[in-house]
Amino acid sequence: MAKLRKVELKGFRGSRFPFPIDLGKDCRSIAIFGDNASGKSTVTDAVEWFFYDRVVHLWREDCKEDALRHIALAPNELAEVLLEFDHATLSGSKTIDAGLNRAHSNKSPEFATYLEQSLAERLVLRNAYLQDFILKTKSEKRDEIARIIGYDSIMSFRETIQRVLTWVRGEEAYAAAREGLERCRGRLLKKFSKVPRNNAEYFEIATELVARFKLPKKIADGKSYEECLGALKARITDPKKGEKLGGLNSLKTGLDEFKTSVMQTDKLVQEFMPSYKAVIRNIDKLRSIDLVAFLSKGKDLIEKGRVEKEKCPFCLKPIPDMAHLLEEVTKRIEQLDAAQKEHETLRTNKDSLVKKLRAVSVEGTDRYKQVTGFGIANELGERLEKYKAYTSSLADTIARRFDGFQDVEEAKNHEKHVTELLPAIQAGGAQAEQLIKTLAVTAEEEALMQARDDLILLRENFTEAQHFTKIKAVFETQIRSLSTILDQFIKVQNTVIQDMLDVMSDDISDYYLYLHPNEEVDKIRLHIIGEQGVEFIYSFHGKQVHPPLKYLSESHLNSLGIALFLASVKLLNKGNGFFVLDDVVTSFDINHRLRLLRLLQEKFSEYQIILLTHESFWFEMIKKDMPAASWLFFEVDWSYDRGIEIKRAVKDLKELIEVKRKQGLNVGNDVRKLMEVLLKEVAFGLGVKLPFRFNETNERRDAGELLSEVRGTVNRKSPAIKEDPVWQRLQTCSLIASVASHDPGAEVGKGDIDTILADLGRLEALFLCNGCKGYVSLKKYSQKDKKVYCSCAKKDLDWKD
Amino acid sequence: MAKKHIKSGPQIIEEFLATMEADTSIDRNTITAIGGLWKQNKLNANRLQQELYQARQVSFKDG
Repeated sequence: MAKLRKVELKGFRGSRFPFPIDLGKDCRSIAIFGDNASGKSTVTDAVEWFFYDRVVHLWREDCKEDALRHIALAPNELAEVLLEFDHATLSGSKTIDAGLNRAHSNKSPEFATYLEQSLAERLVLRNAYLQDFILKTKSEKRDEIARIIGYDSIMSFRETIQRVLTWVRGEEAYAAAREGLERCRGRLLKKFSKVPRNNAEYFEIATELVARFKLPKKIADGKSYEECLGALKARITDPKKGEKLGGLNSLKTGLDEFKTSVMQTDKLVQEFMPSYKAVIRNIDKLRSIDLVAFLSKGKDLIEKGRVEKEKCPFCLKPIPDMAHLLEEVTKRIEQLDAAQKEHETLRTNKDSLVKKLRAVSVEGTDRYKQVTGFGIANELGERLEKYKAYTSSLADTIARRFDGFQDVEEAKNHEKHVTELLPAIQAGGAQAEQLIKTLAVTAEEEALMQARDDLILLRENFTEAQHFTKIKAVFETQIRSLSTILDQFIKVQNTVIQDMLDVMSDDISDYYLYLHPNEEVDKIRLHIIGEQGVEFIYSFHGKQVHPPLKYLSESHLNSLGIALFLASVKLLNKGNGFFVLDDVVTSFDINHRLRLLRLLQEKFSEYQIILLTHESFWFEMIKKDMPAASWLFFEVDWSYDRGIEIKRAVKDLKELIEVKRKQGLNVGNDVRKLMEVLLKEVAFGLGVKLPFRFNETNERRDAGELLSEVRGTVNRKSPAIKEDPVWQRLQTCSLIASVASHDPGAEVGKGDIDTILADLGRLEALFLCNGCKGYVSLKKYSQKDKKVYCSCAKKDLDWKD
Repeated sequence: MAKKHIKSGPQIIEEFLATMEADTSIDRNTITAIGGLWKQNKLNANRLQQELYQARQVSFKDG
């Protein structure tokens, strides 16, 4: 399990200059304290980005890689996160350049594998993420659980099968096969009052059709079918007349069917066009549908309380009544949902109409060929040609313009096309009937021709039905198989997830009850609810309830979030022995904070923990409670020009000032800081008394106050140095340093800074030992000599009682 | 640090596919298409749809 020896940031997020956190060879845990906006979360961002290549809280706000580089970085500088591990082969840095290109310095296959495996591990928990899971819907919880336990592949597999199943079910060829089969069956039923289910029934019907003609052969297969058909044709004395008669009969039937199709199409056009026109007249309503996602996201944020108080999450303007806004947004979403449903219905109707128009156009082409083949009804031919061209063009136009909400002008002449065509069809049918009558045949011949036509129709439709049945069967085999695979997979998915939930639930319950013993909540379990959802179930006053939001307070929900994270760490972290907890206790009361520390000590002592907080009291508690041997404690600070940094000692600040001056950067703030730190060291050593202040405000003493109190004490206790000119000069230095630090544009020259540094050096020389590098201290006071000494006693200072 | 044994997602899918392959009620072409793409790490909806389309064309011809 890899642990961290060092984290060093440079130019990354809040870190301007190298910001090293040395965790030592024994990879100690660390508690880092920093005020709000002190940049401490930069450490968390760095770890999160290094491993996951994203920082969730930034990505959520659509701030991505461009938010990772420190704003003051020059284009040629890299932002860098360096992680050194106890396994040296894993150590390396990750950089991002001005073009937002990311790169890892460690190119070894071992590191690549480690990084990939780390993706499935839980390394970072922030306050902002604590309730993320708890507030999710049941299906979101299922997906999240699957993600955190590394079952993304399972979700993806299920979604793929589900999606393809939907696609196969909706395939046009499958729909065409079903429709074709229905059409053939309809014809067979109409003509023969039954639909042959197999070859035997098919041949049986054919045999019945020719029974009265006492043909020499029985119809029992394809060959005998063809022979019988040939025998029937041979008995017809004038085959050409017969063929013509058959053709005319077919034309008559075709025209009747076509008339029905034209009328059905007309009905669809009459229904569709007014609704379509109404929709495009109200186009703004339609375009507003796109707002549903935006409004729903805002509604979600309001409901989860993730918006700033009294600020509209949509326009960021002040808003006095959030409940009213929520009500209005809900109403608007409902209206838009209704509009969306209306549009979806219209789309379905459009699809049906386009399909029907194309089909009737093809049918028109067939009828046109028949009509012209018989040389009848010139007017019908002309009308048919116009109609098929019109329907084909109308189908294309509707299909093309629908998504752009454009008008379909072609439809204006629709009624004219129909009213001209229908009488022409009627007239054509009458003409065909007239011709049939002129082709007088004997009753025997008519029966023979009828039987011949019936045999042909039977064969055509049975063969076609078989073809469609086969296509349909192939589709249905796939659909059935995909359905079975999906059903079985959902069972497997739910079983494995529930197994995982059971394992996690033991730990979650254990950790939660550690944080909240002897309270009303007990037996916390994560359970699959319904078909595929996941929810926390717990015992509340002895009664099983869910969801957590129902009865648990904010603080309890946070505890549940921590318990879930820690359970995931135990269960999933195989490659990493560390994790980061960033400000996770903000909403805890004191009792539960201490319990959390004890929980970490007792159950996670094997892990290296990076714990960040902005609460000084909590930080002090951590310092006292956590074992000093295995924990480090840092305080961090941030400023625009220096970025995040550990609160520095005099020596570090001097080095920093030197580096920054070489780069031509403003050091006013650093000089002020140096003066404060130096005066604090002197004040601490000499026991200078300052007015009482609470907690961290005690640390915030400016140079002026410190100088005044140190000087006052020195005046009383050490007259030998009270006349040193440095005291007067430092008053001026304090003023210049303050101006330079608060106003980077102020004209503080190089010479001024040199002078201040020289004065500070002189001040330091009064109290600092060049041998042991320690300051003189009251702890080393000699009553006999009336002197204070440094720890090696080489430096002394007269000091009155 | 005692760790509970967890089967990985891919391991679970592989075992599931093996069970489905042994199930005679499942169409061979369908399960072969899914299993084949999974093994090649190419399983996604578009690829599976293409494979099933090809399988249907073969079935139409064969039948």
